[in-house]
Amino acid sequence: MPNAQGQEHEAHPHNNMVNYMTVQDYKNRFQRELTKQDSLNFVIIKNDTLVTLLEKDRYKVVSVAYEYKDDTFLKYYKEVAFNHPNDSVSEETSMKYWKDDLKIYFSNTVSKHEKKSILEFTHQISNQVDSLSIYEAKHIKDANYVIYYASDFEYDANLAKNKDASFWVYWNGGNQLNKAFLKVNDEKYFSEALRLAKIKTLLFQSLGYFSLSKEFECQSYFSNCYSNDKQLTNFDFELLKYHYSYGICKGTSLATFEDQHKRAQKALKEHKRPTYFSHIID
Amino acid sequence: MYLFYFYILVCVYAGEAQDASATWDHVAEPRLKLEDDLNALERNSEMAYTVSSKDTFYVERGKPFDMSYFKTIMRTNPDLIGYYMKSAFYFTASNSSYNYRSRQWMVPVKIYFDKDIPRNIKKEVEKFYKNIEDVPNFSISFTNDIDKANYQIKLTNAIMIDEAERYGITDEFKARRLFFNGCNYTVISDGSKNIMGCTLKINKKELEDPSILLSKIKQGLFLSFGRFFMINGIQLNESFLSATYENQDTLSLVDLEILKMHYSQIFDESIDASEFIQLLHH
Repeated sequence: MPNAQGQEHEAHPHNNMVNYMTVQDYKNRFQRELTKQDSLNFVIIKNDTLVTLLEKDRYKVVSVAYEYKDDTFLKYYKEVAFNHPNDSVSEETSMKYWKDDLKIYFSNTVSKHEKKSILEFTHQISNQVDSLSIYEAKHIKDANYVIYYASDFEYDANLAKNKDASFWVYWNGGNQLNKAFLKVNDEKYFSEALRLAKIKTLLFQSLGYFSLSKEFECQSYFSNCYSNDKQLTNFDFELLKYHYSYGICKGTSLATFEDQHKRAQKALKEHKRPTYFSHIID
Repeated sequence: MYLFYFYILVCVYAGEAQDASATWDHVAEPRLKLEDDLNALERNSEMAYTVSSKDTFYVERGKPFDMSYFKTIMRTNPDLIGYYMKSAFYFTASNSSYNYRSRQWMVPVKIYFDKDIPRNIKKEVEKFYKNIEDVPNFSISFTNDIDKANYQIKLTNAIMIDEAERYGITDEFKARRLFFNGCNYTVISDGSKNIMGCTLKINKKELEDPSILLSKIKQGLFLSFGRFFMINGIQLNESFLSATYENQDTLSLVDLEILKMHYSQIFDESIDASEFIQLLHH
């Protein structure tokens, strides 16, 4: 059975495949206890008991082939994507990403010229990165992202005490970012040049709640240092595209991420075929 | 028979919110350049490569830090190295309870003067700083457009703390001339603790004595060019490092050398005194 379906899967990954899920994941996802009837569909692979998903559970699933990256790339990716609290590396730290489009509302204090420059910047990103779309929301009720200055109304209580510039992001149980506020103290960042530089850096960082690197040259938006020559480098795009690629599970912990790579690379090496990652579409 | 694994992404993490700041462990090394065009690299160091789905990226570490200027000064005028370390690191090192790191401007300084500062003062300041044109990796210019500036000199009604006592100044006339009596400055730091902007604030009362105002603006500018500390007890009243600086028509040789040393090598990640000594003796 697996062989035949696997071969079919290469040509039509969406239609003729069998999907499995761990028991715990199944319970979390479908919020129900498994019955004896369900256990008839259990499959044991190595030490994992997997539930075979029924047709009714499978219709919202899309599968994507594992996207291979070498160890050097993954080293840099992990350093920026897994933002460890208090600089303390933990396997529990998870990566975060935006599932929905970013709809940015600019407060009235952000000038037209500044808004234009920021939207040109986000347009560059949207154009290059699949699954990441950023645009302006004319009304705050339609937005999930607010950019504002300290001289304006306080949009988020968590930023009330911030005297510099920062953002505050919210995420759901799936580590999907779903709301953000970006605030700049316009008295301190007194010029348009300073405000724009800061907003673009913070906005970029908030696209994945990234950790900014002490290693990358200052030109890169993934770098933690300032530069007159700041630009979205090709490698920035490569990291960002990978963050939003579905060739690996999204929203996972560092431990899961590493384990999945290990298993997918092993499968690729031993069977010369890619593992497919299935993602539930809400 | 091949067995294919299909993973389902199920996210089970608790929702949270988090502030933006995050960094890695400190590394006092030149930064990495990542390029997909080999010709864009200087190939001056060991090179690794990383493979993505389509492109190959080459990784190159920047040139080793060049400490030759410091070494020359250490050999020819060791007192100057002493002054430099005191003013840059303020007698602290990695084992101090508070560790002052070096602060460098990462970009050319573009200065904007408050409209209420007399024109002749502005001209005098511009003239005074003309002779720092030969400081490598550092430059200043003046602009009338605040939105293009990253440095503003601003008049304020705010009361500044009189710091004469802290500097052991009892003489009323000298206390009146102390920069931190009626003035202060605040730098804007990037994620690596280097400088991207600054505001020099002057209490409006300072307008009453143009000669003191001129002296304070010149000294405040110099101190903020490297977040230099004044040195208690330094017997050089022509130097800005002295709390009892006496107005000069030109930048003193000591101050010029301090600036030249400070900008002889840009550290993309600020360093502390312990790292400075390590690099100096490497």
